[in-house]
Amino acid sequence: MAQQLQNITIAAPSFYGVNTQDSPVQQDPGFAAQANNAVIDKSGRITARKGYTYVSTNGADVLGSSRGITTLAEFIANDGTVAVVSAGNNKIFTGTTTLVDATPALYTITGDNWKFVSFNDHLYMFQKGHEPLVYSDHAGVVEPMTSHTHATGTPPEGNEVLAAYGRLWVGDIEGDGNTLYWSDLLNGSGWSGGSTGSLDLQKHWSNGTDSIVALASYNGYLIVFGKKTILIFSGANSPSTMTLTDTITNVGCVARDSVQDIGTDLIFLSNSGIRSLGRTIQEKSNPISLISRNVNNDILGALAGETLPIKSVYSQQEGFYLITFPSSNIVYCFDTTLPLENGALRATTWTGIKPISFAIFDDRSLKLGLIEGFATYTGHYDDSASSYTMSYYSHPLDFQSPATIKMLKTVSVALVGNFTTQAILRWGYDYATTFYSANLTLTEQTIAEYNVSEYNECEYTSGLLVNYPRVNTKGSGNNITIGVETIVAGGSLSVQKFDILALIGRLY
Amino acid sequence: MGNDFLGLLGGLAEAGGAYALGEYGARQAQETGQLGKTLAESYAGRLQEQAQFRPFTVTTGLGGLQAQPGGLTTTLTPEQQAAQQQLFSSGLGMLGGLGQGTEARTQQLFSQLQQMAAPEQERQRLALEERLLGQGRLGLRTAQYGGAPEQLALEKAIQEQQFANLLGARQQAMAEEQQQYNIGSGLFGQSYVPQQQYTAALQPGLAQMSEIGALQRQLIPALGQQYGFGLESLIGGETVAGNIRQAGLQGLFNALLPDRGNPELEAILTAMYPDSKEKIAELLGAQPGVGGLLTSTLSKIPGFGWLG
Repeated sequence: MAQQLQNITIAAPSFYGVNTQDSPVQQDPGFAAQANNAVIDKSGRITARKGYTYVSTNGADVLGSSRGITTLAEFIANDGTVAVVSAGNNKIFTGTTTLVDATPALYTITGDNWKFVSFNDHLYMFQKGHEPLVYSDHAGVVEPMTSHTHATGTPPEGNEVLAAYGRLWVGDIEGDGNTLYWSDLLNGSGWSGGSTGSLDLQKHWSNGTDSIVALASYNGYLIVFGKKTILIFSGANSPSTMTLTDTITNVGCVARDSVQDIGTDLIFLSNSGIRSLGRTIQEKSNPISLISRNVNNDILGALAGETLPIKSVYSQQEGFYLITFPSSNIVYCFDTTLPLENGALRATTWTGIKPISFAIFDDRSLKLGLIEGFATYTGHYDDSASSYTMSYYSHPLDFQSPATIKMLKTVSVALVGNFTTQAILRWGYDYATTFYSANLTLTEQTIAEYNVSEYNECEYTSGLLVNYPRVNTKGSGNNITIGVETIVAGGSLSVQKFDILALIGRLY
Repeated sequence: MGNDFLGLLGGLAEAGGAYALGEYGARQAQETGQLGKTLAESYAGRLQEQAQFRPFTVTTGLGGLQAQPGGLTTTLTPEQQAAQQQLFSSGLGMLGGLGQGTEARTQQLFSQLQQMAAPEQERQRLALEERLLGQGRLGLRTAQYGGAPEQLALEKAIQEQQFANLLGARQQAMAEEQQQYNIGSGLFGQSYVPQQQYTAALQPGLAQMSEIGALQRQLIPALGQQYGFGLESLIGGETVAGNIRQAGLQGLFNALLPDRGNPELEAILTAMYPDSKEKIAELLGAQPGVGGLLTSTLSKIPGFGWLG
């Protein structure tokens, strides 16, 4: 007797993002085993990430064989003058389309792990073992801090700097990782006299010897991240009387540039994963949640093998937190718009883009520091013309019948987007790593073309194109892994749903 | 000439006899004068003996006094001497340390006050340290306060206390010095009390001795007066003797020398009495002293030059 096909729908695949932490067996279909070069869009769909377009044009000339732009910042002076300052190849650059070497004369740079902060009409640049640099509109040049007009005393050559509560805070000095220094009020170049000072944190680490890794200001508190301990100070507006209000032990920060304020929370990379400092108004306490819970093992694996500086960024416009592991050539993208029930953020991965640094400019655009300069995260081409592959794979699905054999007959995919590309449907059975594949025929949509003559041509678009390609499938097994790979070349693509027609067979 | 010679001899015999009587009277006058002198001297000697200082001793319960011609010797009783010595040495000791300034004593007192305050200061420091540690502010260094504002306030309070201790120590040292001076002066003054009391105790005896002395001293004028009397007697006797001899010699001269300065008489007497110089001189100068004076006086008379 013929059995009826059963329709199994996977709506909003990867709605919950990637989950490689939990057992793949009987996972919620909303989790994906892989969502690469993808983000979770506003509709909760897995969508191809954007590409990038270079802003600077002479990066290859000035960056040589170095890693590229390792630090990037946009400085806006009080009079509105905008300057872009970047670092790479042991140099300091100013300029956007043309990178101009602005390294001070007789100033030797031996590393590219700078931290830039903008404070009180000055851009301050700090790196361990280097005299801090200052860029200001009134000076018009990048100069050593001691040469600056407002300089007093000897500035600490710290690796971490924070502009908050009316002054600069510096920590992680060569040979002294326990002392927190602060500048004079409203003068980031003033390091003696006035209201300058320091605090030896060695007496306050609660988990043995530690050192300052990162600093942050959040919710009126000054947050000092050690590797194993987090100190939270209140009253930092008056450093001489600020007090320690909370100490979090066995949790610290392992990457200076992983700390990001996402408005509602503070995210940082600890030695146990990516965490957040949540805020509880009623209790005035600071519970911590693991936002990388669903991909934590992967994060820890990448962290363990990382030898280069880890960078991160939070884009309010894009709604995600990015953190890059350069040695693994992977970027983790955490959607910050809708946390999951367990407190984790929906995670996807990016490969092939290889950003070295990030920055958010005043126009809310995301800038990427790359090997040949810095670029804007935009469009759907990498490097303006290169395509990239977005992939999605589900976990093995048993459709609530783990003991029965399933035979896929037909799979249709709802794809949404503007694209002129190809997509491939992949499926496999019983945790196989090899997959059946079939091309998905997609209807092209005319998209806006730049610099193409449209004379005497009529082209219409109905808006967002939805494709429902259908593929006849084969094979059978207890559980099914299904996926889609698509080449992104100039257009976005989202996977709306899978409709699977399958025969449920005998008991296995 | 024979009558003249006999008359001369008779005159000489008359003059000689008068002279001899006068000489006898002169000797009696001299002897009387000498006797008066002797008696006056004897009486004066007795007075002198009475007026002489006699050593005496005054003894009281505090000690004794011995008056000798060479001076006074006072002797306190051993107990009084011991008390005096102790008071004296104590007072001297107290005063001996003065005049050296108060710096050393000030520093000593200051150190003691600091030692007294140190435990509480340390407790305050520890308490502040614990508070700062609890607030996460231990190890704070600021350009405004050096450390934490509370640390500055504490150190400031400690410094103020140190200054107060220093001032108090100095004032105390000066007060002690003043007290030491007062005590030393008192002891030193008291060390003379035994002597003073002892001297006061001697006063009655000394007063009595003084009265005796006064009486003795009253004899001294009498003593002198007696000596004066003696001299007056002697002088008076000699004066009478002298007058008598003078009268005798005058008579003799008048008898022998009616014409004074007659060379022919001188020649006659010389021829008659080849040794008349000596005889006449003997007659005229038998009494030494006065006779010598008379002889020398007479020798100045023309015609008696040969008497010189």
